Amino acid sequence: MIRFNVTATSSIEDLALWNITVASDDDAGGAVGTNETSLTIFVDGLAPRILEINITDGNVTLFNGTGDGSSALFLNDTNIFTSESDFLVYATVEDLNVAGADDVMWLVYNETDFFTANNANMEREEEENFTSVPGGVGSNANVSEKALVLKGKVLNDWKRYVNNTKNYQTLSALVSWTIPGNLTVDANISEFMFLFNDSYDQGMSQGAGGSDAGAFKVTTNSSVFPTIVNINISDGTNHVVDAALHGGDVNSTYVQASNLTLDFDIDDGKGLLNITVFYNETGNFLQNSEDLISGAPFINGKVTSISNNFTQDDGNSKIANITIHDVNSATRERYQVSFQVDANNNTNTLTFVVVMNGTNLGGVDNPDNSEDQELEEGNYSIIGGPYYVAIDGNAPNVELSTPAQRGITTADSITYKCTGSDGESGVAKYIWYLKKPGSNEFTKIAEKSQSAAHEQSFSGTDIGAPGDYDVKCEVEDVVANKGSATTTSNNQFTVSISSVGAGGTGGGAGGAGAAVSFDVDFTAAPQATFKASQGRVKSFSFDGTTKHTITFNEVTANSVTLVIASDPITVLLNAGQSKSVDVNADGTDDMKVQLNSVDNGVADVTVTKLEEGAAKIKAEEEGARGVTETGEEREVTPVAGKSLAWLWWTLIVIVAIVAIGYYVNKRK
Amino acid sequence: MDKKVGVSVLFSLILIMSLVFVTKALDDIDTGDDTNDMLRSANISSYGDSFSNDSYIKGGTSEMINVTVTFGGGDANITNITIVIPAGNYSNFDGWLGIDDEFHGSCMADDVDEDATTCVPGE
Repeated sequence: MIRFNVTATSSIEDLALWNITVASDDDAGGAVGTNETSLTIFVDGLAPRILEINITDGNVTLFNGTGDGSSALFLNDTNIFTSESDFLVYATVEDLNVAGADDVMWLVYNETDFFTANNANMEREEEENFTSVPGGVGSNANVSEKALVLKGKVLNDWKRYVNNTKNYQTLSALVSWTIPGNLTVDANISEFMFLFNDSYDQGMSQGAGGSDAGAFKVTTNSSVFPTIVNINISDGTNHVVDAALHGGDVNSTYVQASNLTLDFDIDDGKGLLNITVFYNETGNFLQNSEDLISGAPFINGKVTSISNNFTQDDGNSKIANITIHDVNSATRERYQVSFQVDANNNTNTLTFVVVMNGTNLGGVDNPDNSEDQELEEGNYSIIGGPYYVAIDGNAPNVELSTPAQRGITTADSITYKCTGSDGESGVAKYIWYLKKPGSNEFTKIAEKSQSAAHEQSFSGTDIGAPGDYDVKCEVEDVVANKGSATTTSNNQFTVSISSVGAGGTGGGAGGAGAAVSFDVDFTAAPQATFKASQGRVKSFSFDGTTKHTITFNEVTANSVTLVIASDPITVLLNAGQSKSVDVNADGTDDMKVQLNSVDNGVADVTVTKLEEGAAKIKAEEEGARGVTETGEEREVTPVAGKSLAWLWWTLIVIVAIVAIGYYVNKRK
Repeated sequence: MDKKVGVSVLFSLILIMSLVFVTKALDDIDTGDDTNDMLRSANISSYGDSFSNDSYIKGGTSEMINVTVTFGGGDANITNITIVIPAGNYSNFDGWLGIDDEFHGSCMADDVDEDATTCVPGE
């Protein structure tokens, strides 16, 4: 172990490579050789610093050196912002050895004028007490009462990147500050500076030169540049509008990944040369760490350069050019452009900016004002945005249940459960379809607007025909993306016609034969009510033995067609209507049928025995079966032939004799 | 003994012998920490500032550098160790630690040669 003291070089930030060489010989003193390795220690002699900066009021975005054509890191007060919005400041901050929350990354804002400050030698204790500007930043007498200290917010994690000019990786992060718009005053100059300190207590100030040079400053004036207002984007159904689009967070309102139409107003668009929409449909610029090196959080390479003329697509973003209405319009003009978002877009964020390039403002508010005159002469670029729109390019996932009992009759019902899920805009609607036996197409059965899983029962006319049925559940999300699930042979259901219904008044027939049941037996009850759907068959009897049927041939919303047999008689009944029926066509009505109601494809029919006709038909049927009026079987007198019992006895005796003979013979 | 049992026992013995052989072979593979390597391992760290990060040194400050070399040269002996300080990153060599310094290492201030940077332990 070797220990010694060294002093690191100040004002550098570097990776130090230590070369260790070990030489040795053997026991006899002969040379063996050397071996060496390199070890590293980082030297941190610099405070955190800003590499690139931009500031936006949501309408105008200014970059490093904007206004003077210089790459110097400053914002000049010839850049004019509206005093009606918050100012969002973004900066790429770099340091070798940051310490997270302990780092000081403060924006110090002064509404009135520049000021001086330098915290290079400021102790941490002083900085921790440095929470308000008055009395805290140098001795400048022009510090405004509105001045304040804003703490930076690291928008993503500190990341190391390879610095091509050095042999080490430093840390870099995108940091933002928000200057409240209510602090700014129209026509005033607003200045701000930054104070930084790292984990080694190395402080630095930027933008506090005490003069115009190197200062961060903007002028607030809401009436000089064109402004974008009333911005709206739509997929034809869903709209995201204005304030929700204005910078900042992704809006929670979704649009479909489809052909989108963007429209907006430009106020006071004097001197406009071109308007271009740059859009990135693959994600939020702020979340792309690779963009940090380029500095600007939302433009950063997505637009060709930070020069004053944005006209080219650099391949990282798509463009949509907009035709200018009037290059010297001092009034509000409405502009519109459409562009296609990939239907398979599942990145959920569309980011776009509206870039207006122009020259010669064509008029100033105050021609006598030297500042306004300067503005009149130059070109300008205004970047509206960035605007963030949530895209839903994914159809909902759909799952369809498998009922336990999938073989049912026409009188039954079956229930399927459909569960839809959608991670973006959310489930909005369930639509149910049936494919009936003999049909190749699905028929819409029901539609329900709800986000939770939905159950649907099928019964009545929906399942009136026997056979196999397929169910389809279609789920629609908020932006009308559709997903569906359809039954297969594994979970479709089958319907059969049931001839024996439940709840009838059927009774047993007399006699020694097997019991015969009917839905209604007029020997036991004079009246009965059937509830049956189309295709159902009900049975009845006048004598308790002979079976007649009523077929529900057709059930509509308010009528039923019955076919009464044995000799088919068709009866059409409307709701509430009753008709008498002569079943055996002997001129006397035997029964009366009445349609009480039709509910969900199920007809409610009452049948009533008519005594005179019923008695006749009963006697007729019993006569045919040889039954007396008292109900006793009539004695039957044989009219021909003899009993064959003797034959049976003879055969038995013969068999017995043969058996005995065989036995005796065998004993001999 | 049943013939099948005999075959099973024989097979098991072959399997066990195979496992022993493979294990022995693996033991013979160089794991990277060969005690015969002359410079078996080396480590560097810095102490002394108040920021508790042994991989960093604050610019402009003096810190103690701790170099640990593990020698594995078998019968060979170390004749010298040369540590090259990155010139651009360090402005000054502040000297070896004294024998009274509880943190001193193999080289101490009393061992320095004329140039003050060469240390010969024991001299």
